[in-house]
Amino acid sequence: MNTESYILSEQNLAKLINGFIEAGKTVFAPFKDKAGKINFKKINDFTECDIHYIQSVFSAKAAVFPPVEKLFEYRNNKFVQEIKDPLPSYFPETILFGAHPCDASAFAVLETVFTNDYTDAQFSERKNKLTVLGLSCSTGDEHCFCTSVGSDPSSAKGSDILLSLLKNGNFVADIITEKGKIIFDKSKDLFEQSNGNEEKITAIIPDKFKIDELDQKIKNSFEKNIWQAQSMSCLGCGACAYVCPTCSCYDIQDLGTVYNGSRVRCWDTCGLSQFTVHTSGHNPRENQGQRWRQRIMHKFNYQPEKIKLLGCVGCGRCSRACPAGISIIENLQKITKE
Amino acid sequence: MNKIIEVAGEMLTNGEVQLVVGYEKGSNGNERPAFIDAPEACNKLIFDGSCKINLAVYLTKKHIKQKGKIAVIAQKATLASIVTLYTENQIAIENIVALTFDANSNVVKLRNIDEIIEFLKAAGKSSDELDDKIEEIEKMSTEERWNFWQEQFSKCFKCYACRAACPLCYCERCTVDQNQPQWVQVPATKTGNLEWHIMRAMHLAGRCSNCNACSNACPQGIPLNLLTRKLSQEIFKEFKYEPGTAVHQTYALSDFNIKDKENFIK
Amino acid sequence: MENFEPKIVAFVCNWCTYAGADLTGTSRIKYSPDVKIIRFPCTGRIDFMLLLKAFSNGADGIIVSGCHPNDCHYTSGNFHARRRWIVFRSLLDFLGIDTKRIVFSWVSAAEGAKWAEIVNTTVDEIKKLGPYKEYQLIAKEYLTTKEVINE
Repeated sequence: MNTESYILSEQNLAKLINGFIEAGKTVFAPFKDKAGKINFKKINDFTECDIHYIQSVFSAKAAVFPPVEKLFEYRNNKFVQEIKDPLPSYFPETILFGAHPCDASAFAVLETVFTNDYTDAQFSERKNKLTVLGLSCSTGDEHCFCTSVGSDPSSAKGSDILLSLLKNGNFVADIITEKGKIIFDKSKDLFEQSNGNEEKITAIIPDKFKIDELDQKIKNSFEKNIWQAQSMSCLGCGACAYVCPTCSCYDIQDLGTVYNGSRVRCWDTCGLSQFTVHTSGHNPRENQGQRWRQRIMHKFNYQPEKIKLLGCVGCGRCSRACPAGISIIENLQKITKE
Repeated sequence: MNKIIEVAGEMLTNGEVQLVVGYEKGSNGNERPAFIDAPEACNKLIFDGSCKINLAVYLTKKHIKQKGKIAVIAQKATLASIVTLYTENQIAIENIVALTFDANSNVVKLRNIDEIIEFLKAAGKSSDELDDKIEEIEKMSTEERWNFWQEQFSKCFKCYACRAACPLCYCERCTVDQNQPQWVQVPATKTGNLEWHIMRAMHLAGRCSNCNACSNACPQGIPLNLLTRKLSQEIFKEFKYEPGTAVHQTYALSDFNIKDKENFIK
Repeated sequence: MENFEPKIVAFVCNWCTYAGADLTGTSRIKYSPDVKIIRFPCTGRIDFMLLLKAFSNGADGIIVSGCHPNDCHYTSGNFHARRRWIVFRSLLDFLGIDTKRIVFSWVSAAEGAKWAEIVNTTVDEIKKLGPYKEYQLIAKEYLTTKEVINE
């Protein structure tokens, strides 16, 4: 469908969001906590959210892939043995509001991973019930590199409606998809006509490297020493994988007793030393260099080959979160120059 | 600052050490660890108030130990960590030289445990603003404290950056990674988070160097250093034990005194 | 709350408190049936994480009991335990966990009456405090039935 653009004033944006909340929808939006960090959570009122941010600590992937998700509940005693799937209410109609283009474009990667050769029922349920009100970036910082991985601060990829901040504090709303149109049609009166010439504030994100150069180099890099050198300071925690909007590895755990409980899935990370330990004790990725290589090659080589999508959206969260100050931009640049 | 660069460069040139572990400015403007084996590269080294990582965490890593003799740029807390690591038989002190500044901004080379302990004694104790925050929390009621910590722990995603950044969390197989039995719930549930943070604080009780690496590493800014500092205070108050101040044979929780006092056992 | 029967878990050492509890029974001294006794060889063997497991499995109160100092069957197990409890208790208190719900005691094999008193006093205390709702609320997050919460 053709993209149509309208003006949404700041007050009407508040009305729109509060309207969703009143209608019983779950609105997942960025907010600033007492420590000053931005994260996404379910909000109960527009005033709780803070959309003027460069980047959140954790991505918005929790909207479709929560950190802990029930797969089923079980009860097992002399009289009852049952396994119960989560109720439909476990998968609410969700509006993700205020996600930047990097987060929005990550959903395509997650969707391909979770529906590629087998359709993950829970992921699909959440994704189908998700509407994304993306927000273009009006500022970025030195950690951002979306422009180097095929995106940009005002990309509409993954958004159903894309909002862009204007100099006067209002927004241009681009209605991108059918889902977006449904939202628009329900609240037409909040939107005004756009003359198409409004001045948007768009961040400028300089190129950090050329993706085709990286692609060429990385194909032949498996045996190189560069991985050990780049991961010398890596401490082997899970911060980079957990904050990443495209990382999708998970563990399955049973919580509860023998008699009742739930089976859940929870985020896992290939950075931990135990990630590939076999029952025999053998560990094919026994040092951090091998694990770092896995991470980078997975995102920049294996995923482009297998699912035709880059596994990185250039959000820079990994570098911001890394306790050892590892910069992914710097490391990718080094690989390109090898 | 140039003095450290000079000294480190010298030590590499004359083969006294094969690797210098220090701090450098990252491409993002923040500090990060530097691993230097060439004398010319020493000019990257910095050492100022922005340096927050506790470099002792690298002294137990195989890929670092393999390099040979190591010079590590150390703050006071790093020195305390080195003493504790030595006490726990985790480092070969003869392969380590600690470089630091004394009160007159001269570079000091500390080559053995006794020198490190002497230096720490002379440097004295620094006041800790954490103690004020701890007092604030202790003034709260039980319910307020529960709510405070539940709110903090709700931010935790169990990334284990706190564990990874701590020099004293060097176990190859952490208790949380064991599932026979499963001591701590793996997912970031309310119970799992509470269990993890209690376990971490208890396993560091009497060993913590109070370097704040844990709370600095936390992507969410959870004040984990309050927990470890609280237990450091408690251990000092009750048992007069301070890690990093002497070469103890055991640690506070595997030792005992028949005169230990308490007022809550019936 | 009426008719609230608390769930108390007692971690006791085999040589003193367990034998003492045995004596309570053989002396026909009545004590509350609300307590479930778990026998350990020594209090020194009690891992602090087990106390948390008791709470997350629905306990409203905990008793930890062993030999008097100097009387440990393994010489020094209870000294280690004492140190551990001092530190653990201060951590739990700092985190807002209700330490009134954890009772520590020394009960020897000859103190049958004392065991009954410890149990009965603890049960009365916990009855007054009520079920440990705060902890059970977080513990039941992924459980299916009401069995965990005392309702």
